[in-house]
Amino acid sequence: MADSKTVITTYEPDNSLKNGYLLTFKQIYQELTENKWLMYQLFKRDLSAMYKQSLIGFLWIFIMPIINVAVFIVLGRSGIFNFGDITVPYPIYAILGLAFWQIFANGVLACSGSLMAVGDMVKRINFSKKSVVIAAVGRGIISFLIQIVLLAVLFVVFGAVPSKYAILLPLFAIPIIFLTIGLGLILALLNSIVRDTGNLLSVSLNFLMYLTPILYAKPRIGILVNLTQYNPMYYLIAAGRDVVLTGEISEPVGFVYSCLFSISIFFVGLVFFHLTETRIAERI
Amino acid sequence: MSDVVIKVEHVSKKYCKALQKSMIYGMADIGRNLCGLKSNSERLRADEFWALKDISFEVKRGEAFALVGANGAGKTTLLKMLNGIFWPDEGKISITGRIGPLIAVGAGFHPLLSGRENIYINAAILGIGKKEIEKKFDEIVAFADIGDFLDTPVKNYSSGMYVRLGFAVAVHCEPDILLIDEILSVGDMAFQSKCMDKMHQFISGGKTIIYISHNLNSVTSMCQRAVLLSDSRVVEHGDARSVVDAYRKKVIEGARILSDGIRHGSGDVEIKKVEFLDRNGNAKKTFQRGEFLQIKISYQAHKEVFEPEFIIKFFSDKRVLITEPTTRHHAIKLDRVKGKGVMTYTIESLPFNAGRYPLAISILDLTGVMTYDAHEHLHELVVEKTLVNPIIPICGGLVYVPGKWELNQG
Repeated sequence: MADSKTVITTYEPDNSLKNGYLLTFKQIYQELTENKWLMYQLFKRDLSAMYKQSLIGFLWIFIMPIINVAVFIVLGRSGIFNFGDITVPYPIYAILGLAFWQIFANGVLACSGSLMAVGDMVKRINFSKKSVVIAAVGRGIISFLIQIVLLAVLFVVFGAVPSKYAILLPLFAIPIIFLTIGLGLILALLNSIVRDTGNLLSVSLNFLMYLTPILYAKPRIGILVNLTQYNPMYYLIAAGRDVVLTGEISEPVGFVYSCLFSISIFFVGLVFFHLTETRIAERI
Repeated sequence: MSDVVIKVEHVSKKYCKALQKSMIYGMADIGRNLCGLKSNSERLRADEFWALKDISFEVKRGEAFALVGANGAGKTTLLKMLNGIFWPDEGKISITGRIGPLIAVGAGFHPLLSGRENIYINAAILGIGKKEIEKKFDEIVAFADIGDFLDTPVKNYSSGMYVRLGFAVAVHCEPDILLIDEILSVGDMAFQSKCMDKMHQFISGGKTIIYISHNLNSVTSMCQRAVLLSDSRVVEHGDARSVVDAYRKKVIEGARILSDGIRHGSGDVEIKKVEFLDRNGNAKKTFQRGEFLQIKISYQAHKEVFEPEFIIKFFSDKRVLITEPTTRHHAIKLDRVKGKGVMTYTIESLPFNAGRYPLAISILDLTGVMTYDAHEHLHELVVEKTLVNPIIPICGGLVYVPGKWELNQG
């Protein structure tokens, strides 16, 4: 650490205005690299506190998707719901999609609530708040990795064979993680000021999950076709799913655009958060 | 060394009374920040008020500086601004060096995690890396002195243990400036003196402390300088003892009963004035061992009360209760008290050795549960050094207890 005695910190209204926008990126980069250890500690804390007062602990990570899928199997068998053209056993298809989806859904939810969860600390200690939000994504990633194990079991049970590129599966989580962090930062900040954000988010995430072809195949006709066309989450999930099941991305252009979209949201989120984070403590 | 480490220049901070408006203002401010517009924070919008207005002071290296004032005067807000948790709406704050966290009761631990896990996380939050914390871990545990509870979830800790752990982590992170907000009220005696020692060590090591406490005695014993905040402004600034005296005067004179650590109670009977008198009935500032002392409490009962109880507590400067005479234990029955009156307590021969003795004076109702008025830190008895006294022989310690030596040889 540099000689701390020489460091002079000043607090003034509209500090970021005086410094200019270019310096913002440098500050963000510095903050993130300086706080790697903190992020790791916060992530570890989240993880070890997650199932602390629970009897079956991490088994919950398996139970959630299984129940979700089971409901859809019942609906499908009863003829109430039509999955569309799915060439692989349905549980494999659905669990694979859900594993990706929950990185996003759980991540965004966890991020948006993360500042409030440490509200007591935010009010006492001046520390990197970005780290708190970013660390909140960690849980979703761990759940994702655990669900890959569940997926492997399903492949064995159904006697199906994944493509040889299936090993690349974790890579396809990366653009989703970027998107999650970017949105998470924005939502965390809004949520610390207006609590409606969190409630609105839980409702819309549910809605969004059913709008995204995760538990069913992309339909060929109807309004969903148009909606799906502009849904980046669809392309990001479908690409990962395609690679595991067939080894070939069926809609590469959409995938590339969605990746670019994710990365730009990531940067927008960081800048948005950086410019306004001094307002958090007094409103939380 | 006389260099300034904290410089506060014309700082103001506003709050919003209405929650709904506060949210809207918050969103508006964010919008302005993003668009690169000025916040215009020096203007008050509807329902906003200044929590602090035009505060200026400087703190030098190696100094302990106190913020005193009634509840709601803005002490904690100011501390939070020094830390950068809140940003000023006007003015400028410059800090030289690493500033520690706000050390207050219950310093942000995760309730389900053990003390050990929380030490690591809290240290990481305070900017302490892996190597540093591993080196200091044993020292922190030793200072916090929580014994077997180290691996127990923090939610099972007592509030005292909580504070001990928080204080231990914070001081071992070696900040250049320590911010302390009313922590000594929770820990036990042993821990309080340990904290005091650590703080003195800190100052003599050339570091700086900003200190908030309702225990005015600890303020004068530790801090050199202070500011008195009242109605969001600095009303007194300078030498700690004179600032504290000004505050004491203000509290006693104020008709309003404050509900904080200094003065509290229902106000049905008010302590109007407390005087220390000599044998001739003249008020005196300092006394000597063996001297006559009369404590005169002038009160006013705003309504008729039955069998109230008067209590005087004498403390040592380390806050140890030395003696507590009460009208009840002296079997004095005060049937009815109404209007203005005077209660006196007389000591024929003062048994105290030289030193400062804080007094707590209170009037309770007949059950001894409800307080009419209590002055906790407002009065101090000063006993001077004397060489020889014909009435009381010289002895060590705080007080002289009459006794007799006798020798019996075989």
